Amino acid sequence: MERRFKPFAALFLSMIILFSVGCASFEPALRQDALSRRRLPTATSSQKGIEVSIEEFVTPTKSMQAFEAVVASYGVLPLLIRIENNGSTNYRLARGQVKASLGGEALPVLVARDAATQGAAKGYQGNALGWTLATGPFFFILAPLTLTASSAHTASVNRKIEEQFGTLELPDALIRSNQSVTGFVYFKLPPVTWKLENLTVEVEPIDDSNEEPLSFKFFLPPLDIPVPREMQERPIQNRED
Amino acid sequence: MGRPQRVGVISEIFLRIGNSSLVGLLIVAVSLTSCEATYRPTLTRLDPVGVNSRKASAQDLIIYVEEYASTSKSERAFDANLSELGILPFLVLFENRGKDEYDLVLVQVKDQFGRSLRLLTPNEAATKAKRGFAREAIGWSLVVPIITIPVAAGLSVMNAIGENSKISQDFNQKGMGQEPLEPGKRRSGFLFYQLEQDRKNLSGLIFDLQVRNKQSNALITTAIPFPDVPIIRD
Repeated sequence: MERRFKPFAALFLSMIILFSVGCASFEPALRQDALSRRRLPTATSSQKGIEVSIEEFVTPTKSMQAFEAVVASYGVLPLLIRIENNGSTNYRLARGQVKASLGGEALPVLVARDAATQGAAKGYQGNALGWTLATGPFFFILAPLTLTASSAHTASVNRKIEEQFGTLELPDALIRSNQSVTGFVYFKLPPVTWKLENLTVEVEPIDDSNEEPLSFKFFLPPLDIPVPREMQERPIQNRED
Repeated sequence: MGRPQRVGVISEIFLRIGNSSLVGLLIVAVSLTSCEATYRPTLTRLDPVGVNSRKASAQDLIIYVEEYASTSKSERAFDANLSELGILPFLVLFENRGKDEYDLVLVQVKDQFGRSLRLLTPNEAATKAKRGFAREAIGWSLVVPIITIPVAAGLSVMNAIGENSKISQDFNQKGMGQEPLEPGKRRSGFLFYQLEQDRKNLSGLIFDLQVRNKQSNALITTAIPFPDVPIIRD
């Protein structure tokens, strides 16, 4: 019996390989369990046995390490906050007690899911079309299948991105003596911001025994935000469009 | 009839695997279901000290209560908006700073008319949450090519079973235990209540606690009113 090379078989095998490779395509280096380790902060201060440190994740290498995307370029400012209680009383800290302002204007806090959608998930949306085009001459026949498959894959990756942003988010915490808590607070940047100047961050943990807040204020050094490639090629438009 | 010329090793693999296009489609369906919905809550600490939390003390006991009715909190803790599914979750922390042991006698949530909301076990709450998850899982099985829907649907059901067991386990782990509160210890966990159909906010709800000091046998009661937080149901 004559056996012939079957192009569809080849294509299916290629797609299967793409699926298996694609499903593991979001694997950032920084995991939640690594956050408890001490890092080199951008700013630090201590009062009454409470030490607060802040680290910017605007720098592309750091941002890629944590989110596999330069999220600041898409309007998300991630700040890693660490609070260490070396005193004898308990302190409470909710994310709402971390505030940031840029040039005197308060920046709204983004919940992890919104930060993920705005900062990283958008970058994966092009994949659906990209995969379809990758089927080359089979484009017209296989477009429904590849587009569906790509959409499913993209949704799966987006879920992973949301999970990463969520697990790294600073938890509301009761910080007991000799304990520490670390996590990201995500702020929304004004549209078309490519330089962070006069960025101030305030952290106000509350003494759980007498309800008195401790006030920490940080002035972060100026930081440049990389302009995304798609915005370099055309005139800059409003980021929210 | 011989083998066509120039058919290499890779082509041989393709020939063996791809004798039927249906096989390929089925494999695609299987691959797709690996990208299906998964249960992924992201709450890392059970400390009820966030927005809308309340704190009260009764003798040596400190009690913190926080609503998890709002969408963002509920999604963080349970990967779903539980109030949409008729569940009202509260995160509670008991801290016993004294030297005596306390028994939990009664933990209830009452409305403005004094009626108690039904306390759900973590298993009951998980069962309601699974229904929402099952809809999502079945939805995924419909995105595959029509010929493979039966296979994908079957795989979706298997996936849902696996995720359901994760949901049950997670709800039970996060649920508040009923054991006595030992001196110097703390315990936190979720309490799940049946949400009334017509309730739009938490206004008027009161967290009512009765504990008994096991040494003195004294009954201690405390009531914590909830803030006016809207309950969003899509």
